[in-house]
Amino acid sequence: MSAAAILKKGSQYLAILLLLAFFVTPLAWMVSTSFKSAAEIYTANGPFFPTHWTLKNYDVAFATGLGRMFVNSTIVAVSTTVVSLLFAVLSSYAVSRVIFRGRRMILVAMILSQLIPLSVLIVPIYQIMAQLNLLDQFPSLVIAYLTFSIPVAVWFLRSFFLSVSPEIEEAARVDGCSLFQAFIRVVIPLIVPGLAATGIYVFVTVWQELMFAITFLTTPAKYTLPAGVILFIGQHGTNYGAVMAAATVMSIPPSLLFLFMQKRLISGFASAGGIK
Amino acid sequence: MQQPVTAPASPSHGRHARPPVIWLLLPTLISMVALVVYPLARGFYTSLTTSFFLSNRAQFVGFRNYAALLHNPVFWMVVWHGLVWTVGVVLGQLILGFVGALILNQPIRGQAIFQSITFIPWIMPGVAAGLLWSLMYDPTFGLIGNIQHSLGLSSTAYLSNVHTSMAAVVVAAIWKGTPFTILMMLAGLQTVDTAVTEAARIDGASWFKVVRHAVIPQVAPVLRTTALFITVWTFNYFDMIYVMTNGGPVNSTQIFPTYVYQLAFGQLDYGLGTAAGILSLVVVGIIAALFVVELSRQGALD
Amino acid sequence: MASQWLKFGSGVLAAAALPMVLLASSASTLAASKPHHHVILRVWDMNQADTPIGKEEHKYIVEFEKAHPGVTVKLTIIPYADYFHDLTVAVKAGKAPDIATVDEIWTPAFAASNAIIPLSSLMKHYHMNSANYFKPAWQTTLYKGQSYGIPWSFDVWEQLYWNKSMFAKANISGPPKTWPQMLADAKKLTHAPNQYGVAVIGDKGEDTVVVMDSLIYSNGGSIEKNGKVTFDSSKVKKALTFYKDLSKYAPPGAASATESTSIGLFSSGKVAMAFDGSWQQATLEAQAPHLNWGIAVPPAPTGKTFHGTLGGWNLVVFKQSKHHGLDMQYIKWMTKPNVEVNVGSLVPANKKAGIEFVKKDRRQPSIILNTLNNGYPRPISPNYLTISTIQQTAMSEIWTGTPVAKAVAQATAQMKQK
Repeated sequence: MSAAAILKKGSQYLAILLLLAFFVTPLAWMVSTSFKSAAEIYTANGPFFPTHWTLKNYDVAFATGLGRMFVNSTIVAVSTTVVSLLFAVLSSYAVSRVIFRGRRMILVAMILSQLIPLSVLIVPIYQIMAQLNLLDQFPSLVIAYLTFSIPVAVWFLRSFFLSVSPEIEEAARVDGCSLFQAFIRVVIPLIVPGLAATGIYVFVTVWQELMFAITFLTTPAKYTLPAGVILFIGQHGTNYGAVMAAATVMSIPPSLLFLFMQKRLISGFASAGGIK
Repeated sequence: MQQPVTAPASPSHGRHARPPVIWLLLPTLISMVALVVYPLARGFYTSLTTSFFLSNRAQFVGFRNYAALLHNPVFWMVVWHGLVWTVGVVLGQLILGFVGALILNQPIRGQAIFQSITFIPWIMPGVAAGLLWSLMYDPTFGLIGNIQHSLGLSSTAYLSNVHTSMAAVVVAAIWKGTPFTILMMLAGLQTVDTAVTEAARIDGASWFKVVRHAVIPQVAPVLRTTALFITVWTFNYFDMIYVMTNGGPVNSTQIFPTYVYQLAFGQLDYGLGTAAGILSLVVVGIIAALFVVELSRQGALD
Repeated sequence: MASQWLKFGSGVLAAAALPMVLLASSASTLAASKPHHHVILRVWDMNQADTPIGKEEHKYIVEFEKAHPGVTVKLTIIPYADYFHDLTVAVKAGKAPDIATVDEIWTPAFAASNAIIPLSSLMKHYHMNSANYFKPAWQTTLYKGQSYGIPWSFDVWEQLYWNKSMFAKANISGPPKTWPQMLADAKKLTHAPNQYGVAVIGDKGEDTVVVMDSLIYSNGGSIEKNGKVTFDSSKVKKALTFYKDLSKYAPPGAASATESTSIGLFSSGKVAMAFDGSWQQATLEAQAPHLNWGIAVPPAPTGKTFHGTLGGWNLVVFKQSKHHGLDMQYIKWMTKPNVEVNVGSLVPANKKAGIEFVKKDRRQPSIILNTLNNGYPRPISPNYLTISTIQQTAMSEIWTGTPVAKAVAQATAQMKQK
């Protein structure tokens, strides 16, 4: 390898290192703190790594039902993803393929809806859930999450629909397909990566949602993961060790999932970004 | 919504194909009306009343809550802080996300693992991230204080100082949100035509010039969409500031979502709180309108 | 063709509804299995970060159910950090529980908006006597002359925690008794940046307000009196100036320091003194088993008496409940001395139980009992939460350099607007 090539490789690694340092240092600190006793966390200018590793924070975190919360979060996130994709795929197709009056208005309104502070919406939505007898049940969350998952999914999927050339559909129609058959057999398969990317996006947003979760769920056995973090914030003190342990446990499985799905996901997001 | 036509209608094809727009939109429209439009209308009505949170007897006062807010210097402070916060976080995430994507796009060993690690902050609940950064910033027990201490510097309480608190929460939010931008940008970079960048490089253009003149124009659509999305979310992002500073000290990190929450739920002044929420929608609606006009000028809405 | 889309659309809706139905079904079958004559008592309580209250409470609930056939108690325990939010949203939406534990500073707000009911006649009916409770705790239940709650647990927010080893090393014989002494001791004990005299609490939160109030009360001042704002007084200004002066001997970061930070600084041996409630004794034993510490009645201005700020929880009955008598019987059950002493994270508000609890559970009980009897509540007003927010802002302005007189004047003007 020539000196220039080595230099180039070296500077590449250096750049990666700097970037990683910014992202990884807080994460490493989080993991390290999760293995510290309360006494060590509250040590002035203490060392980065624990002097005595302890699993106590993990015991505390799991004792509150972290495992159960994991299952709950998964149920809620998967259901929300499925429901919002089903709804969004239809309406997104409509706003992408058909020119009709009010189309722009719908697109813009969807973006604007994301700007309303949740504090304004939460009481009326709570009242709706109370009337439907859904409080303290997962469907209340799934429905409430549609407020933000559908608009985003419509916008995301729209760029995928736009990337499918209308000629492909036309060709299918010439072959005798009805518009509906063309949609199901030709268009949908083409946007599968888009569905995956949008789905992951919705999943991740729901996975970390807090305000609806803590307002609607009151039975600890039904808590989702972010509500679980709140358990460790008391009136007179926060159990940082347990928070860090819980945060570590919450972050690892989705990032492993990401590791395996990475390639597909990135190509999916490529089209979501509006590349036609 | 009358007379839908397919776009683009092919002239060679006799019959117009008309997907039944209304049926396609119905599930979405029903949910949005029930979950956004109706609650917003209720919210708007509440904002015209003096509604003490716990009481259901509200007195109609017209726009008095709005007038009170517009005359309150704290409100204008919140408008300003909302702008600083949003611009700071969005710019930070875009720049770092773009540079990060360029770096992570290099074909080197361990790339997948690096990418997965940088992805973690995005999945982490905002409360957990907020608590993590509060601890990081603690002048006595935090990592940043420790580093300063070992370098022989005196420790600084970043969250305690009105001049640094906003910057401190912005950095934390950049950390939390950038992975999404990286993801979008990595995706965008997959579609960059390497022939164009190679040609530029052969012509002797520097790396910066290649990026500026060959890469950025190609990823511009992704940049634009990403910018739109993260602007919207950042403006309305509540969790981190709520745990880190609760809007303090002296309102120096008070932004709309925390302000509305404080008024409506913290002080139980539900009417005033919803009025602030509606006003925030107006403020940002103006900004969003400018953005939408720009998008529409570039044809992104067609 | 349209029918195909229609079929598909209804298929989508059905597919979307399916998980909802499945997810919701388990709960509805449970509800359906309850016979009609059964009364369900819905009780809400909150849980602190490290002390699971529920377990103990359940034991006494089972006994209550046994003694009251046909009654089922459904206890919902909500983490402290969500509790106020969840409770207010539920009340607003008409879904309030029958009984709940509410912070004494929220009680007037619930009372003023008719969300909870006055209990005086029910108390008489069930032979409950207000004299059984610590008087300062009882006072917090009063709104417009009526009692709206039964005190459940309480404590004073301030004891002076002092590090005996640091004091010995600095040749100071004992904890300070007056403000000037405290400033002098704090100065002597400060060797920045390794050691500081005292920890202050100054973040945007209630934990800051209680310290402010205690200093103000000890200096003979008040926030408001009989509905009139009395914040703009020289007594208040002097108290806050003292706090600001004290912060010279505290580690950096007053304006973001929470109660958690303060006790952490004390347990790590970084500061020699800290103000905090007796509940932190357990924290210190866990976080710093080898620390040589004691508590003392906090200092007061020369010639004056120390008054701590009270904090605590009341049991209240919501108007939306359909069986107020039964609710009261439940409250009576849970506030029996032998029950109270085992339930709750603070000192039982029932005198007998409270004294027993402090003697059994706390170090230096006589000091705690002394401060309990001398404690003052925070302003008993439906607007308390706004008053508190204004005070928090005033304090952080003082930390960041605004002159005390100006911050106090601004805060007073804002309080008067309310």
